[in-house]
Amino acid sequence: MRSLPLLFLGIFFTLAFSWTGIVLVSNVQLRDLDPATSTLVNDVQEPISGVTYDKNGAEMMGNNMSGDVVHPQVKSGSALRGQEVYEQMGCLYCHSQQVRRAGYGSDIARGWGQRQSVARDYVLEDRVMLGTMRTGPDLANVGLRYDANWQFQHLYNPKITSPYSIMPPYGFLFEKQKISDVTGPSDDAITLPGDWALDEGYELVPTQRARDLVAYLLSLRQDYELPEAKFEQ
Amino acid sequence: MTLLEYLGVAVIFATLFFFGGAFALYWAKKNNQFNNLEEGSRVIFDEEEPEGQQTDFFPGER
Amino acid sequence: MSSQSPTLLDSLSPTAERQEALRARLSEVDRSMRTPGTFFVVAAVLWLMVGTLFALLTAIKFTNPSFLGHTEIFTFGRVRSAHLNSVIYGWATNAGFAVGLWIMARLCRTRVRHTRILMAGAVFWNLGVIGGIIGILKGDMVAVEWLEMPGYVTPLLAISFALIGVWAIIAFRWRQTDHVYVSQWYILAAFFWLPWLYTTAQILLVFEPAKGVVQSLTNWWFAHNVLGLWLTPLGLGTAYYLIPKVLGRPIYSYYLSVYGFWTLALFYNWAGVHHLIGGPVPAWVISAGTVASVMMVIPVVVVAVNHHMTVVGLHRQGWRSPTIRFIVFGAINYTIVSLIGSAMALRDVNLSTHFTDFTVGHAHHGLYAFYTMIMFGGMYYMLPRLLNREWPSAFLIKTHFWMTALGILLMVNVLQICGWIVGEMMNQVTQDGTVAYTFQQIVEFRVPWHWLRSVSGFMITIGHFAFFINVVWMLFRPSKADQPSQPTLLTRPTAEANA
Ligand code: HEC
Repeated sequence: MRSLPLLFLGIFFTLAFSWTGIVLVSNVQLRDLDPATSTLVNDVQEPISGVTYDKNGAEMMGNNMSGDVVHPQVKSGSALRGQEVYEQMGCLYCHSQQVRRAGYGSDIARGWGQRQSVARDYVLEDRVMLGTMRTGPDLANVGLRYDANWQFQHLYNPKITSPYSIMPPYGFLFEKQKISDVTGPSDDAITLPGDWALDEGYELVPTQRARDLVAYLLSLRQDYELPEAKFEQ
Repeated sequence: MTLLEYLGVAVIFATLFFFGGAFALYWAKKNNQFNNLEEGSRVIFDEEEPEGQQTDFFPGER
Repeated sequence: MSSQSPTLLDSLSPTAERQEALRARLSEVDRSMRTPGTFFVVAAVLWLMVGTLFALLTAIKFTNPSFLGHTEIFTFGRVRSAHLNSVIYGWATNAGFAVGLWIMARLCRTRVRHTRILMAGAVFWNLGVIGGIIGILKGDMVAVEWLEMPGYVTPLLAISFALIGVWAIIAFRWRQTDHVYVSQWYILAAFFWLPWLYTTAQILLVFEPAKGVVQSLTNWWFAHNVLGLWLTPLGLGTAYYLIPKVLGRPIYSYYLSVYGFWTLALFYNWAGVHHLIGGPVPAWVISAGTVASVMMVIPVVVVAVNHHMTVVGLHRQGWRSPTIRFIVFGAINYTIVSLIGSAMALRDVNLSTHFTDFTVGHAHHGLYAFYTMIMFGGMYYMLPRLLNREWPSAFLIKTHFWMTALGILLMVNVLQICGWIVGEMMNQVTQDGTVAYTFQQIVEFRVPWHWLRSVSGFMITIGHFAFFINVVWMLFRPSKADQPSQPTLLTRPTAEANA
């Protein structure tokens, strides 16, 4: 081939093809996806599944059931800051945040979720971190599994709660401090079991970042039903 | 859109692609793009690095 | 128009008719590429060493999580991302600039002029990557795979890429040859595709993040295409040029190479979404990605047949050339890694490989066993011609080859075998619906494999040191009288006469 414009056109259209398909079309398709109640209703408040048509024959996706709560919900300020900590620490490279359907993998059998994750679960997320690696367990529902104290201990050193763990310790998110003579032990101090306990007279308190991160982890929960995703039995 | 409508669109696109490809080939043939195709593989050689001669060896081991 | 000192306008403006004098001899092209080519090689090699260091830290952390665990900047997630970005945007891209631009200029028979502009692009690109790596380590990382470098360095990267990439297009536009060789297509396309991919991804992921999982789709469209539409074309373009070049035998079927180019261009760019199989994204995108991934078998087999048939019968001669050793190793692995990749896009196979070390092994297979080895080969051919000096040590070249070749084979095997078994353990469910292996069992199973992986990484490191020493030695060795004025590989019995 000798003609530059022609070669260039070919080069252009091949990439334009997938750009249109993957980036543009999926954007158009998912643009209008919003939080929803667990069931959608038609114009006369009857539950519907999938696409229906209104009385003029036009397609309608359904309305939210009035009075019900929509999900997913906006995260609290602390959890949003915690998400940034999660991003900066690179938790993404060992943890996914997506539950696959029953029958495709063992996600649900492992107790990682009650149902498959769907696109609507992520519509409010600033940074979607589905992840591609499961060195550690899936975290889409980790907020349902542990309390704050467990999370603090685990972050400080994963070997406290899981002796076999190869997850890195995040000790730099905590501060060792002398227990104040005046006010006594801090309310935030974290209890450390057995050998992990600090020297007499010292206590371990989480920094603001650790608290935010744990708030974020606790907010990770897909414990609601969506029109397209009901709990598996 | 119903399944049938989707199919309709798909068929239209498939036809367009097919004829687009067929036309491209026709154009290429007509403009002699396929003439001497194999000749092109020789343009990388010249008098400094001629065809038929290996041009790279381990240092000191040729 | 004097060819001695052309103004900027001269080299950017078309010549009225092709003048024979403008058509540069290969050695003249080489000379004009000397400064930028050497700069890119040196930058690439330094990044390779930096990337190797980060890789070693990452590997140690996997078996020893508390190693450097109390320093925030060296936490696993950051070191790992620093590794990825320094090898992709530092090593692989600089190597691609060096070899790709040089091949482009040679095939176009144009001298590269105004290298200062090119050098400015080169320097700023590398400053951008340095800034990006520092940004990652200090916590400004963007949590998007392959795009971790913080938003404040990306405009710099984009501008310097433009300054560099435009030379490929200038060389092409003012080429002094009638025929466009297939390597030129690959390289030209690569230089056009990357900026498009990069700007789209930056806009939709960093500056104006898209809604919901459109981010993930854009992410994998981008990340897979950095490999597929930037590095792969550069690697294949290099192989298509150097295999016939070194052996002195034209490519087996030129027709096939052209066919392979267009099928690759058409199918590869859809393939990336197979990283989201089973995920919360529209099923049709996944299906399209799977189809495209399987269709990739066509260009891959085409390239494999073509390269194999070119080398066939010349294996013994080829073995005597460092370039051919590395490039043929890379080309064979291109075939293997691509076929494995197509298989991995099948839902049933992906079920086992997804989320495991299998994918990590696959990435190293593609980027190292294929791309990096080809670039090593390219540099072994290019550098003596740019510097007009011979490589100092054949022993170091051999060490480099054997350590990296065996090291990467061990690494890929370890990661993929481990990954496959882990995938099976993860998915196995007993009759009563409970999992057959707990997560703890799986974590513990992986530990010995990670040690093996570290061993393989150590072998590769030795190879890199051999290469590094050879390059530095070559650059700084004093030109003594007993050195041949030309590299031995350039002196041919017949060459003296017409030299
Ligand atoms: C090197 C990989 C790695 C990195 C990086 C990593 N983790 Fe982990 N994570 C693991 C492994 C392995 C486990 C399972 C063992 C355990 O419980 O520690 C785990 C477990 C967990 C668990 C418990 C999940 C469960 O269901 O038991 C949570 C929560 C968690 N990680 C959060 C995080 C957070 C938050 C970060 C980032 C600050 C992070 N991880 C970074 C590997 C990693």
